[in-house]
Amino acid sequence: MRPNLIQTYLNNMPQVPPDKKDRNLDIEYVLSNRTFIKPLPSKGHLINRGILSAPAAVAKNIAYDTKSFVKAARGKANDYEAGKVNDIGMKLGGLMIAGYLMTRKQAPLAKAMEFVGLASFFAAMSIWPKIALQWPAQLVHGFNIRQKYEDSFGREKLFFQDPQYLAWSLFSDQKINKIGDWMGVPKDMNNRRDFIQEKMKKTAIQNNTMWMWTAGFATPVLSALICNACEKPITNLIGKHRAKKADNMLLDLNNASVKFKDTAALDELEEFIAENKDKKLNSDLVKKIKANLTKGFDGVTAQAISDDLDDILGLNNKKYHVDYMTLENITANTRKALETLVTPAQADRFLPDTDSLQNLLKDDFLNKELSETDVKKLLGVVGAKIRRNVRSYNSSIDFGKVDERRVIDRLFNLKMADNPIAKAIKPSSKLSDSLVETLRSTANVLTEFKARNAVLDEYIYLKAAAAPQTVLANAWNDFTHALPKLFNISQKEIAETRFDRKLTGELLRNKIEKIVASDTEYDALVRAIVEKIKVFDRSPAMSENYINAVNSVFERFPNVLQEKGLSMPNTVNRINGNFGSLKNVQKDFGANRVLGIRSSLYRLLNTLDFYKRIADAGKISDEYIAALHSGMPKAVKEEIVEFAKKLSISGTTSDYITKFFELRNPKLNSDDKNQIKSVAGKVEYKFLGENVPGGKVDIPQDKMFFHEIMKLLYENKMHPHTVDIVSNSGSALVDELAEYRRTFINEIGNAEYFFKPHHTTGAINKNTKSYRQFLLVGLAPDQMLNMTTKSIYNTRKWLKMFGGFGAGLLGVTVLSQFFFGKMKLPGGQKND
Amino acid sequence: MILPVSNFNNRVNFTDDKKAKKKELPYDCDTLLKNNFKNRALITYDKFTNALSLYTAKGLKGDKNANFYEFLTMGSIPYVIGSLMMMSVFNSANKFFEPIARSKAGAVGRKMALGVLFYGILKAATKPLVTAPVKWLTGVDVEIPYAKFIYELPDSVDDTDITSIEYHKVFESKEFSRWDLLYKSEAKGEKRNEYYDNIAKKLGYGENLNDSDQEMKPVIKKIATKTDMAKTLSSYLWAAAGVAYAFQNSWQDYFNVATLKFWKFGKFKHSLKVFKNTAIKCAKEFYNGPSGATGWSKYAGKFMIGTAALSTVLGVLNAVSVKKASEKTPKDVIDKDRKYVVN
Repeated sequence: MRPNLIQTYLNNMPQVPPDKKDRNLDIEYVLSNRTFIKPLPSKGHLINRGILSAPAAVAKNIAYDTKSFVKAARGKANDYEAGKVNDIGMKLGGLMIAGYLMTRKQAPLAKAMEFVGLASFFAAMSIWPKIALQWPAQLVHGFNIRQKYEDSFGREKLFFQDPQYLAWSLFSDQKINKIGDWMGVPKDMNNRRDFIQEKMKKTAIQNNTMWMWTAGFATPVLSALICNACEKPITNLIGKHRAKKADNMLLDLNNASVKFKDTAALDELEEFIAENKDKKLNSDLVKKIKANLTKGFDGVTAQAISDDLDDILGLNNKKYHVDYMTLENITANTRKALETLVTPAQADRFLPDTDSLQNLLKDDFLNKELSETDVKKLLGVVGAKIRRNVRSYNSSIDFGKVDERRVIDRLFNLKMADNPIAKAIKPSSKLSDSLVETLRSTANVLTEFKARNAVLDEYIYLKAAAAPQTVLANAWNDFTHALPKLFNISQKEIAETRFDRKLTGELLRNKIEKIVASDTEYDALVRAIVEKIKVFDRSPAMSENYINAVNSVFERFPNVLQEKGLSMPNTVNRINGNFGSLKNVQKDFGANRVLGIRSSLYRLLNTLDFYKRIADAGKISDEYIAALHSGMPKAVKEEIVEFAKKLSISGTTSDYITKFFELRNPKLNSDDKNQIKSVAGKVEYKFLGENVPGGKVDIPQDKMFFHEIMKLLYENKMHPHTVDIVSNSGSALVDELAEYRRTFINEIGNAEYFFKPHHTTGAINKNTKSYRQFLLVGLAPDQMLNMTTKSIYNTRKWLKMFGGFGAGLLGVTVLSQFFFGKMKLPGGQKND
Repeated sequence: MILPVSNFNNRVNFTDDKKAKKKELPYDCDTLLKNNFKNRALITYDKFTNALSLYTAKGLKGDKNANFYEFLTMGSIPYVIGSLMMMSVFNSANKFFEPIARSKAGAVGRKMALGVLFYGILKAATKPLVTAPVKWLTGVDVEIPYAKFIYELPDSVDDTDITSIEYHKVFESKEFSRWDLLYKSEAKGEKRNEYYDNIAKKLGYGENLNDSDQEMKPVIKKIATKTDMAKTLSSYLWAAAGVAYAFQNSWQDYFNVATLKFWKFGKFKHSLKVFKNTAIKCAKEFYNGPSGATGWSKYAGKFMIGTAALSTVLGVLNAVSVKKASEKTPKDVIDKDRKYVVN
């Protein structure tokens, strides 16, 4: 930037009165020789920046802003530079808000969207005047109303921002005339340039005003629309990133586990050791050590570790120590125990005092390391002595004898923990050097295992947890959001049914019945769904890599223990055992998540297939609906088909587990045994709608109802079209679908229900688990669709409201261009 | 077309239409105004109503007298509309959602609306945190307003209504500050340099300086520039803290009973009471982080408040730290024996 000449001159103006000779100044001479005040040539120019130079301009702006900031802080900024501080402040404030809100969000998408929101807001602020005003004005009036120019001091400004100060000299005659031609200004008029300039100025003022009035409406809407558009790509991006992150973690498990290592716990252990080294292992210290080593483990595992620690710390095989102090305690304890039985004088007669105890025990027990057996022996020796003493005491007197049995009871016939003598004998375990080493290496092994296990947890979380933006959740959202389009459901239908799952279910049923009536529509739908389900195959939460990693982490644990010469049988069994071990839990979590989702997808496919088989009854071989066999009355067939249709769309686990509850006709027509008849996807019911005298009832003793429905839905052959499409899809889906149907029959069809004992499809399966049944039934199609339509409706409703508003605003703003810049020619004619 | 322009205050209305009201302007020349609440309120009101009516009309007409001041004044329109729109974007569609989504979207939407409100309030209310201490410590009031008397170009030869008033601030431009308005009138028996004398005295340049105005102008300019910067930056940071404050979960307590129906006195009073309690609860939540927060989210609130407060304090300290007369280097002083050449 060059110095402001006037300002410099004013600041440095000599403050002294002119010399005398200056008073005789020859002004003519000075004026004709004024070389030093000649203005420098202007460096101002219009800026026409292409998209390519934008990054360079951004860099230049950042540099300029920084410089302005520093100058303003020193109080030396000019007005233009001081203005830049406002831009900096606005962006800084925005970043602070986005950063803060990010810390309050859990999901990575939500975190990212805070910054997207901020960026979109600034983007909307600068995009709106471009698309709504600048570009239309360029087309209508032939010039850029938001033309920028750089003045001689390198300051970039909007040309038309101050209509009272327009640097017209920056526009060449040629340029102005060209704009005039576009505007249709007569070529031969006087002062044509002035007229065109006035017209441009007027247009620009009008546009600036329009900008101020529309920006407030447009920016929030446009910003929200941008965010909306960004959400999906960003979700995909995050999903891919997270999937990759998870895969990389498994590839380099050692490195990944470093992050999860709980060094704080190890440090804490070192603190205990430093504080308590060579001290006796009292219960408090043991508790602390156990708490430290079991930190981060579940209760069952913690108990196993704790049990193993008892062994390691020698608590199960205690050593005891007896010294003179112990003997004093024994003396005191025994007297106290007999307080209510004998007088102190009596006690002194037959209870040994400390010295006689010392004599008694000095050879075999005193100051020696004793095992628990030794302590018991000691009790025997002392007991015999007391017994002898009591007898001799009793024989020495005639009156006031002591009850020997009761004395012995009080002193010896007690649990070890309550025994007054044993109580005085303290365990001798110390936190010795060797014990410290063992504890250290145990802690290291456990910490390392925890860290490696944490990597597995993180992996399976990223891939399969019921949390936003996990791989599985993304794939699921992708699938469900495609449903309304696949089933041709309109926004109006969504609006009518979204409040009620039942309404959604009815809508879905009608849609499916319409689709299955046509082979081409059915094929297209199934093909689309199979393509979507295939994606799930490609993003498996239960990859072989993961299973291998789980095995390696859990099987490594006993090996490392062995290497270090440690033995923790309880812990090893809990972590790497066969039944209910942590290893199996780790595998099951992912497997169950996947099972639940796959069941929901297969169920939808199975439902479609069933509807198609019913729709084609008569057209295709009866083996596809073999459950509706020829001996079955048509009325029953109708009941079965109708129930199966409802069940497959909205049935829940409890419907299956309670073996169905349905109000049926108890006295139905059994003469007509024809096959059911379908027209245009729907079954033409002959008996079902009939009025039943006395009303319909549930028939709990009819096990065939359950039996045949299960067979019809899950055992009869699938429709040839379905089989064709699925087997041509080039995935393992064909086997998986068959496996799903088989498992369904086996674990739900054959499950036992106490109140309806014979309602099974085959032999009773007693090994069913309720959570498996829940996962196998999956999400009902009507509920799946209902959840989706609710969220789709909300988004679409919002888009319709504000998208419509935005479009309207844009239209009005663009149209307004045609009313701008109207001026009368000097002669009074109009010039548009 | 060249139209006659009179450069005196033409308040004579050449019309025989008695009903035509004569335009009364409160000032007839550029006038320094007191920076008090009444004037500030009047100026804000005048600017905003003009932005909505007169300036918009002139702008849409493409009036030749439309100027930069009017354009800048209309800059308040997108702020107000944008704020309302922002609230609307997050709230208007919610009533069509099903109940659970409605209540969830509503909770976010209301916080968003509160955030917009707090942004505006804190942005405006925190500016005096900088300007007041600077005024108190140095005597320089950067917000001091003046009314500018404007002559416009007449629309036609018959147009005699060619004057209007604009409200500016003396230090609005640091390059062209209105120093002239700060002189007192000697004709009225006042001391010409009184304003500058006061500041010189406050800043320790001494009393009874020969030309306190010339000596103080560069200093005042520096203070004004620094103060404006501190004011701008800190107000954005406070505004950001305001938005963050509005996003505390406990505001739900207030939203549950919130009502603006002041005529239902009992309910309104209760809602104000709950607002007060909630505001305190939320302030605590904001400062300490949500319960059970760890790491960043625990300290984010403290960080927001801390940054804003720090920017205010540092800004004021920076603004008031100007060189005292005794610390001036010889370079700053004009050597009266030397000849200076402008190059």
